[in-house]
Amino acid sequence: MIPNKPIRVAIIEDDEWVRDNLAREIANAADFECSGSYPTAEAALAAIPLHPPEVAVLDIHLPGLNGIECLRRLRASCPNLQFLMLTSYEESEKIFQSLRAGANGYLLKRADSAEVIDAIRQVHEGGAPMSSTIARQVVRHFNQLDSGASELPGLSPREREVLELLARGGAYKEIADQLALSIETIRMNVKHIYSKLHVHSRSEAVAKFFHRQ
Amino acid sequence: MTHPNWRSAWLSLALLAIGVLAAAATPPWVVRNWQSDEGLPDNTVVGIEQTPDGFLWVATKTGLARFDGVRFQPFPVTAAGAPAGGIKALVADRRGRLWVGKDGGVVLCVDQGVTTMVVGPEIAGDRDAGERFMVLDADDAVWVCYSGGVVLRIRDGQVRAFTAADGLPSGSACQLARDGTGHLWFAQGDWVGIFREGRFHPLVQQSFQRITGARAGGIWGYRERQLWRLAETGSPVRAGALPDDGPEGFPTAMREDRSACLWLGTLKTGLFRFNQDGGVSAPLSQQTILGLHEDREQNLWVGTRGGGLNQLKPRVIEMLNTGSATPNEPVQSLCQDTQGRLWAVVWPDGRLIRSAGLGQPWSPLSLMESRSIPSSECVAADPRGGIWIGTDNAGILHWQDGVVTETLDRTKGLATNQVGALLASASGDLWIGPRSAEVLQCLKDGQLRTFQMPSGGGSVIALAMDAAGDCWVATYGCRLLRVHAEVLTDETAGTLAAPCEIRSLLGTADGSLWIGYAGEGLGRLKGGRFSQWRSSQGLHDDYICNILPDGRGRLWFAGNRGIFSVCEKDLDDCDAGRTTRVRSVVYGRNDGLLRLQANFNFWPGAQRGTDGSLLFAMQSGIAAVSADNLQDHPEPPPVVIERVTANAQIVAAYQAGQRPASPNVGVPLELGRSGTNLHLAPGQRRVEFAFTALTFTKPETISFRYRLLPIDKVWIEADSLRSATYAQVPPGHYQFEVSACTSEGVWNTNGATLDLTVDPYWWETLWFRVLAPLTAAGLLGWGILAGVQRRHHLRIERLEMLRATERERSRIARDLHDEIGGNLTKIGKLAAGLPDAAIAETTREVVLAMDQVVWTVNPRNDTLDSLATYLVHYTEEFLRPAGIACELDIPLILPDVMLSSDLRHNLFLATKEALNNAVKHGAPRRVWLGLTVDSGVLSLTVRDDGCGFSPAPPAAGADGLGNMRHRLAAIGGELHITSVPRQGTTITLQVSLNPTKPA
Repeated sequence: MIPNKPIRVAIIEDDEWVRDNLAREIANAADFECSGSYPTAEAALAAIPLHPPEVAVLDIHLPGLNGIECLRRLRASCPNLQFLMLTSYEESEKIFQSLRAGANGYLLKRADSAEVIDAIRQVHEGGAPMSSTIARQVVRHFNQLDSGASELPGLSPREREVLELLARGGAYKEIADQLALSIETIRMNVKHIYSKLHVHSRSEAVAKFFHRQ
Repeated sequence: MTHPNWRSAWLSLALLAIGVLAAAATPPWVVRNWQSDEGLPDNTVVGIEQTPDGFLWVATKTGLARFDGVRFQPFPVTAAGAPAGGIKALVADRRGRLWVGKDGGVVLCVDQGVTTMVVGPEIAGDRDAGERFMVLDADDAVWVCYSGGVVLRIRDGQVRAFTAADGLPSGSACQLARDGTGHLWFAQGDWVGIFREGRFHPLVQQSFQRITGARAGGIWGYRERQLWRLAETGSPVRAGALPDDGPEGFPTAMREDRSACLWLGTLKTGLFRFNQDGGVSAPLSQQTILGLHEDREQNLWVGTRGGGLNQLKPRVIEMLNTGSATPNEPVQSLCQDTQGRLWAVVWPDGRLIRSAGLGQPWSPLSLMESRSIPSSECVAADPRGGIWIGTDNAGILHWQDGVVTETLDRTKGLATNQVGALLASASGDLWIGPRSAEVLQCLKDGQLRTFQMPSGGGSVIALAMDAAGDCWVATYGCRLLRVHAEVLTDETAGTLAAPCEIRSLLGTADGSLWIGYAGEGLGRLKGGRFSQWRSSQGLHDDYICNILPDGRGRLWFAGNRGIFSVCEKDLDDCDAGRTTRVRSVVYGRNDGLLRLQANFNFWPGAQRGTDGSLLFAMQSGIAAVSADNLQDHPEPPPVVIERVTANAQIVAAYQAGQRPASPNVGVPLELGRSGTNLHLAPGQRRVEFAFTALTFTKPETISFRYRLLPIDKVWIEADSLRSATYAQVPPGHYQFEVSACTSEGVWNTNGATLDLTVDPYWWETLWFRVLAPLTAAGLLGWGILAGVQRRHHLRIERLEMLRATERERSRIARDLHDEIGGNLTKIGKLAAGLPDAAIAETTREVVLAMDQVVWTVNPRNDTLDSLATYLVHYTEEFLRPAGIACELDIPLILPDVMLSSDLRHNLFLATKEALNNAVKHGAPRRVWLGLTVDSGVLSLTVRDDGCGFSPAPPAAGADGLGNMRHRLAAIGGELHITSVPRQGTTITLQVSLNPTKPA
């Protein structure tokens, strides 16, 4: 069997212990490689664009430039980089903000090695699953846009259906059964929802004044 | 005939035929760049203007934005009937109105956020306007130049066209410029002239590609590499030029700054600056310059095509190029001799380098010279001329004019031949710290004296003279010693309780001895009293390797985390208890500096130069602080309340304009007018104030404080945070006050204030109705009124307590999360590797419990929405791993209701118990969680399709049910259980959300 090219992962996390531990977990996983670890956004911004990895694991709270800001800037210079946000406990608002800024998933710091690797893999493959908590906020976001007669791309009826089922707690498998679709299709829908969110975050700067930030 | 002002200064320069220095040393300014990813609406910036209120307005091709140095606030510029099109020019008048020129020559005026069209397409016609075609004259009238030579004047709402009939020479687009004396100049075709008494008067036949007003009167003109100066009388004089072999530089923008430098922006070759020394190129993010503006703090703002907005501010710290092949070589010791020459020792090889003075290049010593100098440790200037060099195995050398004039080594009584610390006092004594010896030596009048230091105290690391002439010594063994009247005493006991390694000492004229510690911040001995400042009090770094005074009331520190300064008065105030924090002004990335860490172990490692600049030996070279370039901000910046939101909707905004903040609320109140009183409807109780201070030089050093009277008795320190949130503001009249403070510790006395009134619900005004019928019974009425007043007073006191509790809760939540949460997570990860899985499992449970506690405690979560969000999260996390499907029936939009932490806590735990029971005893395949709010009653339903139970619940579940009942009783709620065997169980928790009865 031909070994796959390893997935290169960068870590941006200010806590040295957590950073080293993550680097170790990634290095130990088969077909993963830690391409670098950085204690601050500034360090990451200086180094990552020179040789971007596939996935960046990024702490939401960083000293100096925060994680979301770091994400925005890295995304500008490395458009193909995928982002997994690290957060110490459930802060749905921050997570939602980072998803809008272009993150592809999030992970709680307390997650064990298997969960970490799993999350990175999912992000690499096109986006982490959407939890109900986040789905609720996403629905609200799009509803608000609709009422404001936005020119931004809205959701397709199918995407809206999937999103609403997710917000009601549905697992991918259940939603797939209920809508008579494959799990892959559900995943694809979620991926599209994510990317529409990202589009909004880019265009909303102009509209920001008229909405609550 | 000629104008003396410019003639004397510039005529000689013109003769010198100034050239652009191709590769100047580090430019004396720092460039900061902003682009669209930081909120700029578009990376093509056509104009920048500062309005009298202090805001900076940035006109980009696609839109206008207001900037406060931190955040861009996009600002729509549209008016009825105005055609779409890009912005081409921006002018701000003295009344704070903005004049926006758009494609097609249309001009809009923005006044207090309201946009009107002043020159519409019907007036502008099809005339194309030139780039940046608007100018403001001395009477606040706006002039607009169109191609074809037509000029419009907008004054007091009247638009008037000027043509050849008014004296305008023929030509394509006219150019206008206002000079510092208020004259309006024009350049049209082959003529330059002045506008006076309603007519254009051509003065000189000369054609310029661009003109700009000169502050001293007259204009600057540019044409084909040549810069000219023209006054009202006399002919144009050449004032500078770009080199013939360089790019021609088609001029797009010109501006004279307040230090009499002329800035020239070009179409393709960037920005140039001309001053007495000639012209230099200023590298920027993009080479096409569109707009130039100097703000009130003398920052230069540059708009580029595609490269965003640039700010040029005076450089305060510069890393000197030590002339070595290896850039950023560490420097261990440095000094400046009596002739102004700079000397430094490069780490680690101990090479001596020198420069003829500040701003002069560094070079190693000649081969001949260096043969006489062995590897060095430190270098100190001898006040009588020459330098003292401490070497690493040849003792001390005195060196002057290329030769060794004196040596001092073991044969002459020096304790060891390796010397790491030297201090040459003004009186001519040389204090010596030999390495690996616990002695201090002093060379005085040719005699070497030796002072035995305490045994075990290590050798000398730092030396200082105090104002009284005593020598102070710090040793590697944490000792602080003093030599007074030839006697050495140990002064360590008078300082820190637990001795700490000292890295630097400094004596100042006021009799203070400053002590830089390695980890314990800054200490001071003054008049026998010891004081200490640490990072917890605002000191930027607890590791201080060098200290220098700047002679302007600030101390400068070089430490592990770079260079920073603190006002001495600030230190005094904090020490005396007048304030709780000191303000550090930090230099680093924003000032174009990377990797700033001080060196230590060698003395001296810093010096105040003869020109007032401060030199520090750093691990990446020599840092030179030009304190003269520091702009003093005696006046704190103006403060503006930018926005007020109530229950997450904008209810008031600074220059709000006429458009509602969102479709279903009204027009926000305008905060730009004075004397506004903001009325909040009943129930709009979660209030957030966003404010800002308008300074652009170092906006990150501004700190804020605010208070909401009468709730807050004392100021709340917001540090650099630019917003304040109040969770539960009850009905009443309030005043919100905010003020800002510079890094010097000067608060602005006025700040900004806003009156607001929170209207009561009808039942909250009940006392009115009670009072009315009772007015007849005067005495009784008076009694009730007094009671009401007392009650109001009590309510305010209770509110203060509530606010205090909320702050305390926020702090506890943060501490729990920061101090304990992180470590628990680590323990969990460590435990994962242990053979006993129970430890890992227990830790995991503790981590989860901790998250719940943090969530409960944090007052930010005191809302129904937060409870719902948390329940969704918990339910999903709890049921998914158990393989149970979950279905959530929770409205997306919940009423904005505040829930106390007690209520949230009990509701959450009861729901958790219900979920737990369902999974544990019911073995369900699916669990429903529902949440409804109906006429003020919150119902939470947990339903499962498990096995259910008969009316008498199984004993095992009894505890859980008891707990739930107990929890609901504690919050005045009820518990309903229905269960059918084999069909599942439904548990409903109900609690009333009615606001607590009015006090």
